Amino acid sequence: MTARRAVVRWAWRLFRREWRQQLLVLALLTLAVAATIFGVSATYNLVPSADARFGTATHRLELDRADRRGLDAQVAAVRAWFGTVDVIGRRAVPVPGSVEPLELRTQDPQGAYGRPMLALRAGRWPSAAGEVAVTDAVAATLQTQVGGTVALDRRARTVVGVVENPGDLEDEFALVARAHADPPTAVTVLVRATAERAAALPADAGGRLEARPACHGAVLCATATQSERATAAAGALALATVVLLLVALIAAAGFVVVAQRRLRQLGMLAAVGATSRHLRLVLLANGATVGAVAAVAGTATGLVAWLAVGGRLEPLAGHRIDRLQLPWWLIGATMVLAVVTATAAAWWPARTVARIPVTVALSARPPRPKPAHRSALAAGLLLVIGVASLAAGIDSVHDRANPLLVIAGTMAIVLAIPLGSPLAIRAAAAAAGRSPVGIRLALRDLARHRARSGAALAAISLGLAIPIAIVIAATAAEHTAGEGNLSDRQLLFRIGDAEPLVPEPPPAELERLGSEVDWFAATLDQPAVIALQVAVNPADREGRNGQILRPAVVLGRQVSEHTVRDVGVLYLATPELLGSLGLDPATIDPRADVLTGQTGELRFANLSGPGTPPTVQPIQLPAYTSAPTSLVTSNGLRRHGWQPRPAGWLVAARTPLTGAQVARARQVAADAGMTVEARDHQAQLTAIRTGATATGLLLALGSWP
Amino acid sequence: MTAMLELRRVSKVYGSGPSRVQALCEVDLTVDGGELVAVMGPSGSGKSTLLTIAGSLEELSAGEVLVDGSALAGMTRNQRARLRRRLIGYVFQDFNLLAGLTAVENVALPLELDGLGQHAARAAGVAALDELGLADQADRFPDELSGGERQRIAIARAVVGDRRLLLADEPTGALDSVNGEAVMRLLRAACKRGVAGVVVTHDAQLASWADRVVFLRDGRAVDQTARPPGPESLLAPRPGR
Repeated sequence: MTARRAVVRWAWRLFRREWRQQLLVLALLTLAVAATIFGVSATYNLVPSADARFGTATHRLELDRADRRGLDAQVAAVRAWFGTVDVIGRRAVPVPGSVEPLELRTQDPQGAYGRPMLALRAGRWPSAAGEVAVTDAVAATLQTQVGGTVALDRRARTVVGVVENPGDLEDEFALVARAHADPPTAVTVLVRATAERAAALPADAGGRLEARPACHGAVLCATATQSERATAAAGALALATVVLLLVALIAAAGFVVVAQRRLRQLGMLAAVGATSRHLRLVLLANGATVGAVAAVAGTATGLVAWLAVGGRLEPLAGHRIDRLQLPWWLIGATMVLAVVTATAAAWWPARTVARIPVTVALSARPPRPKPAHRSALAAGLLLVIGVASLAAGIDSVHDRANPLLVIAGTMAIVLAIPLGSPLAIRAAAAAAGRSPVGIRLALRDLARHRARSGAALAAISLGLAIPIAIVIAATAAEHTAGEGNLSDRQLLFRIGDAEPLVPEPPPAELERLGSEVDWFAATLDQPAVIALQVAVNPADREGRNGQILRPAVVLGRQVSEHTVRDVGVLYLATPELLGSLGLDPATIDPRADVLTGQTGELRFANLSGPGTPPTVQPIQLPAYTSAPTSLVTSNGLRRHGWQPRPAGWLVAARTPLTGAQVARARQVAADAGMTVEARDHQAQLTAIRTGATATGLLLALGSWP
Repeated sequence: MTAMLELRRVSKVYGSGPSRVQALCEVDLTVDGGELVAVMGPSGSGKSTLLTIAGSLEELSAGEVLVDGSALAGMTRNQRARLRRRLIGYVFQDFNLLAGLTAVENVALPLELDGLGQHAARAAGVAALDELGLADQADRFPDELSGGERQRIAIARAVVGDRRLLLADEPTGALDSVNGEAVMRLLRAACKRGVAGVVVTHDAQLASWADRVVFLRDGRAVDQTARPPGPESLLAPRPGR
C-alpha cells in the first residue's frame, strides 16, 4: 500500500508538471463529459411530464355532454366510485379575429390532484364574477394585461392574473372562478386509484378513462413520471458512452505518447526497485487523474452551461424547467464513466511500457519499430468493414439507419486510424529522400520514434476527425436550393397550425382570412396566391378545446412491416394548383389517385382503419417537404369517398422574400389567427458547422505541444 | 567473508547473425563488502553491460551472477526488483532523480517501494541526506539543484537503508573536477561503511580512489590491479592530493 501511494504521488506530481502534454486528451474528455452532462440534464428535463395532464392523479376521465344535469350526474357517479376527485370544467368560447376558440376553464388552484397543472405567474386568482386570469399567449391574442378588460362569452371580464399550466406551456386557456362560471361543455375528472379500481368503474359513469402513462401496475404512482425521465436521460448517457469510447481510443493513443516520453523516468523507477505492477500503476494513475480532472472540469462546464441555457429551453420543451432538478445519479455515473474510460485507455500503454526491459527504458532509445505492413493490413481490413457497415447501416433512400451497424462501422473506422498511422509515418519518411535536410531529419526522426509519433498522429487524426465529421454531416444536412421545406420565394399560410388537422371555419371567417392573405400578397412583387385544399375522410374527426378538427389525408411511405412514415400532406390537384406547378390537367391519368415525385411503397396515412395503396402517377417537382408537391386527384377523392376542405394559401413571389417580408407575413398571420411557414434557412446548422470548425482549429493549432 | 558481488564466467551477446555483438565474454569479478572496484576500458568494451548485469537490470547470456550469495538466474522479475530495492543502489551519469519528487522523496523512494511507511522512509531519507551534508536541500526539486548536488543526492538514494552493493556508471561524467572528486569521496566513504562498490569510469585519476581497477577490452577482463593488503592502506597519503 505504501509503495502504491508513493507511485500514485509521483504520477500526480508528474501530471501537475506535464499536464500540457496531455491537453488534447484532457480537452476532448472534458468536452465529452460536458456535452454528456448537458445532454443528460437537458434530456431529463425536456421529457414532457404526465403532470401536465394528470397532476398527481393516476387516472383522468373525460366527460363530454351537452346537458348540465347529465354532466353533474356523471361527476357525482365518479365521485361516489373513487371518493376524492378533482373536477376541471371546460367551455369553448369564440375569440374575435381567431379561428380557434378559447377555453374558459374552471379549476381549483388548491385541488386535490390538479395543483401541478396550474400556476399563477402574475396578479391573483380570479374569485369573483367578472374576473378572469389568462395565459400569456391569450393575453397577447386579446391584447390585454393584468388590470385590463376583455369581452369573453358575451361578457366583460377584468383580467386579474396571468396563469399557466407549468407542465404544458402550449395549454392556452382563461381561468374563471368556479362559483361564477357558466356551465361547462366538457369536464375532466382527475382521480387517484389502483388500476383494478379504475377498470371496474361502472359503465353508466360514462366518459373516457385514461391511465397515467407510468401507472400500469396496481401500485399507486408517486408523483411525476420520474422513471420516464430517468429512462430518457439514461438513453442519452448510453449514447454518450459510445462517444466516450471514441474519445477513449484517442486517449489511448495520447497515453502511448505520454508513456514514451516518460520511458527513461520509468526505467529509473524500475532501477530503484519498482515492479512491473508499480510501473503500470504510474500510467494507470495518470489516466485516472486525467479522467478525474476531465470529469470535474467537464461536469462543472456542463452544469454551468445547463444552468445558463436551461431556462431558454422552456419554449422548446413546452413546459417549465426546474434547472436544479437534475438526475444526480446519472451525473455521478457520467463522472465515474469518464474516470473509468480514461483509466481503461491508459491500460494498454501501461502494460506495454511495463514490459520494456529496464536497460532499454533507461537508454530512452526508441523501441525497434514493428513491421508496419501487419498493422496496415489490419487497418485496411477494418476500413473496408467500417465503410461496408456504414453503407449497409444507412439507408438514405428510405431515411432510416441501423444503429448497431452504424456504431460498428464508426468504431471500425476509428480503430483503423491508429493501426494505419505507422504506415503513414513510414511513407512520409520514405518520401523525404530528396527533401531539404531539415524536413528529411524531421520525418526520419518521426519514423525512428514511430511508436510515439504514430500514436500522436492517430490521436490528432481522431481528435480532428470528430469536428470534421460534424462539419461534413452538417454540410450534408444543409438543403440545396431545390430542397428544404419551401423555396425562398414561397410562403404557406395555414388555417390552424402545422399539424395535418384542419379546422372548419364558417364561410365568412374563411373569406376574411383569404382577404388578409390577399392584402399581404399585394405588398409583394407580382405574387401568385393559390388556395389550397386537403382531402379529409368525413368519418374522421377530432375534438380539441371544444372545436372540431379534421385529420387531412397524408401520403406515407412504408419503412417497415408496421411503420409508415409521413412524406407529405395530400393537397387537392385543382386546376389552379396544377397550373402553378406547370402541370397540364390533360396529362393526368384518370385512374391515378395521387400525383407525386415520392418513391417507395407509398400508402395513405392519417386515416382511421386500414387504407388501400394509392394508384400513383409520378411527376417531377422540387422536393420541398411542406409545399404542395403530393397531390390527390379529383377522381381519387371521389373513389375513396373523401371530401375537400380549405387548408390555406400558397403565396409565391417572383423574387426571394426578404426577412422583413417574412416578418410582416408572420405578423399578418398572427393577427388573423393563422400560421405561416417560410423557408427554413437552417441557421442552426451554420452555427454547428462554425463551432465544429473553430474547435477543430483549436485542436489542430494548440493542443499538441 | 562472503563476496557481495560475484560474476562467474559471465557472457553477454546482443543480436544474432551478422548483427551479433559479444558485449561480455567469460568475465569473472568478485567484490567484497567495503571494497571499491573501478572498471575501466575504451568505449564499447562492455563496462556498462557488466554493471547492468551485476545490478540485475539485464539478463546474461551465460555464466552466473551472485549478489550477497543469491544467484540472479532463478529469480523472477519481481524478486529481482525486490533485490534492487533492498540491496543494490545505482548511480548513473545523468538523469538520476525523478522529476516531480523532492530530494528527500527521491532518496526515500526505494524504502517506500519496499513498504516502509512514508514518515519512516522520509526520516531515513533525511538522515541519508544529512550524512552527505544535503539536509537543507531535502525539500527542493531536482530542477532546483546543481549537477553536483543531484549526483550526491543520487548517491544518498543508492546507499539509503541497508544497501550493500553500490553500482555507479560514470557518476562523474557530467561533473567538473571538483564535484567529481567530491562524488568519488562519497563513494569511498560509503564503501568504508561496508558497502561493496563498483564504479565505471574513464578517468584514471578518479579510478585511483578505488581499491582495485579492472580493465575491460572487447568484453574481456584483460587486466586488474592487485587487491590491496588491507583497508588501512587506503589511508596512506597520495601524491597531489
